[in-house]
Amino acid sequence: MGVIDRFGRLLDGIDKAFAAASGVCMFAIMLVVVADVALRYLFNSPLAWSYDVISLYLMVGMFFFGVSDTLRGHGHVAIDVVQKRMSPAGRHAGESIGYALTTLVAAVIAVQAYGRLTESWAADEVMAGAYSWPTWLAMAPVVAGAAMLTVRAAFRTVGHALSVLTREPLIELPPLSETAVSATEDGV
Amino acid sequence: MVTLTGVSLLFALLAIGTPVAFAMAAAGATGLAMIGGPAMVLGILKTAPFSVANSYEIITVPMFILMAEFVILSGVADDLFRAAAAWVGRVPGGLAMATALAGAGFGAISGSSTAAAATLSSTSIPAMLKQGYEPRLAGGVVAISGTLAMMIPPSIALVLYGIIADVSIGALLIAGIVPGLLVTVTIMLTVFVLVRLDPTRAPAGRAHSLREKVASLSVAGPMLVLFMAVTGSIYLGLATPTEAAGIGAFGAFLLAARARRLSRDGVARALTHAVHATCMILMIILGASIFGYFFTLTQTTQALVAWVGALDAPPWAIMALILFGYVILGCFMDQIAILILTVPVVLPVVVALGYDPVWFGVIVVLTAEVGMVTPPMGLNVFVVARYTRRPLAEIFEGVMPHVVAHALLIALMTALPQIILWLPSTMNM
Repeated sequence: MGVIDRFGRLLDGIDKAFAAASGVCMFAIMLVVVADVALRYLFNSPLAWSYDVISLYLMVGMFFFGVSDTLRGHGHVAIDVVQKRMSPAGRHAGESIGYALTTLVAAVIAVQAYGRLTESWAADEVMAGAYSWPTWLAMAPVVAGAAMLTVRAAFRTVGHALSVLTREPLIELPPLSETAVSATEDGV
Repeated sequence: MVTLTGVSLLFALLAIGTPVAFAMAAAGATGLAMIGGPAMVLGILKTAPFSVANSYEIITVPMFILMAEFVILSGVADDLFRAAAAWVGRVPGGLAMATALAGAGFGAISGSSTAAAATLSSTSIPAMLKQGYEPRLAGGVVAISGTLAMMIPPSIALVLYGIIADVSIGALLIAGIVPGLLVTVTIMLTVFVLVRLDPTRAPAGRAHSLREKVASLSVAGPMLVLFMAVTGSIYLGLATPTEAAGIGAFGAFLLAARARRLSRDGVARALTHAVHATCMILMIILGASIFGYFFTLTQTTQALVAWVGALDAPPWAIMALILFGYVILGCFMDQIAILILTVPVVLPVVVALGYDPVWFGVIVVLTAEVGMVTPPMGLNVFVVARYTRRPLAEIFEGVMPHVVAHALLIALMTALPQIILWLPSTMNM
């Protein structure tokens, strides 16, 4: 097995673990909302913490822990009208350029989020409300998710670039819309 | 010049296959760097990502998506078509009409158009083909009936529009009911006309006894409960759309439990699908928000509103042009991406023309339905083609009469906005 394959599998493993965490957050959102509504209507005592916990931690965790795994599964929609008319080498080149820019943006997001995390940790920042929720904890999924997105996008940048140079498909191209609906099966 | 560079970069990235969300983020960040230097990009990339997810209202999107996944897992939608067929299957084209009814029923408990097309494909197409239906007619009616889920509440598309346009999500969801029913009737009428023109397209089916008909209604019970828990509670003002979405997801989860379909793998798969769909949407919102900062700074929207305001054309003509633009965009872009990308720019123009934002939301989703079935990006047609292993061109052909009927319906609702706005005006808010 080549280095690219081995690294790819390592990334897949981390992404799947992150996605599981994301799924747990989603399921928890559902349970908290239902408990909140039930307690409000049946016992007139809603959960004072549900709003903050959902918007500050669960929703942020669900998005950032899941964003890289979505990329792994080609779940981020792309327009492939032009791609259908391109050679495989041309497609690899296009993917490499697009992911190079994505890597840059995701890296800046990760670094900036890390900056915010350390700042709020140092200042012991909390979200004002019924309870004092630490802000740094909310930034942790942003840092982890954006970092993972950066690594995955960088992996694709290099993989596609090497595929162009070696003229061998070292990394798979995203499925085109007429041959597969993998990206859209989850669609809306 | 800066605007042109940013927009050109966006289109270039989209053309080479960069996912829409990342193309918007990269083009937006580049444009921001050109306007305000690196400090501006760093500042926005520091706050925007967290702000997108750090919202309570947005949980409506993942909860409705999760609800759709649990509805599929529960299998309650599988019997919808059989129930509808028992009632209308006997008339010529009856099974095709039953498909439209089943699409509306599925739409009432799920907001996912592709999921609806997939479910209908697996149940109604085999039945229609077995009875000697023309494959083109069968594929076409399934593809268009799947789009009903986009309009009939719970509708993920309308929720997204509400979030982007800052319009009451409750009012939007309720506003989707009447147009959704009208689309259902339109599909049935189109089938009626098609079969009238050429009766060999759809041989009449067998009659069902009253006992069979009544027995088929057993599927309606859990569906009605779920529909009332979500849409009913929003209409009556008992729950906010976010609460209703959470309850809907939990209700669908209980339905799956009742049907003994809650395996660990099944739940994990439903959650993974829902996570992927949600992250795809949220990432597009994030990309669009970065691009939006850039676009706002260029003041293009204001210039556009001023330019349209100065045009010496009647509002309906401008509206027709806007909707035509949506149909064209729908031919090569994902509907959700179109919504998120265009609504912030187009809505101010529409409001300046004197149109109601709730009305516009429904009309845009109605237009998006057309985009779901027109080539080359007709997602529902891909789904039907994959499930039935029939050629794409055949299904695109079969759906064309429905596209024409849809266009007439859009014209009617543009001429008479009250069709859309009446029901939300009676709501308990």
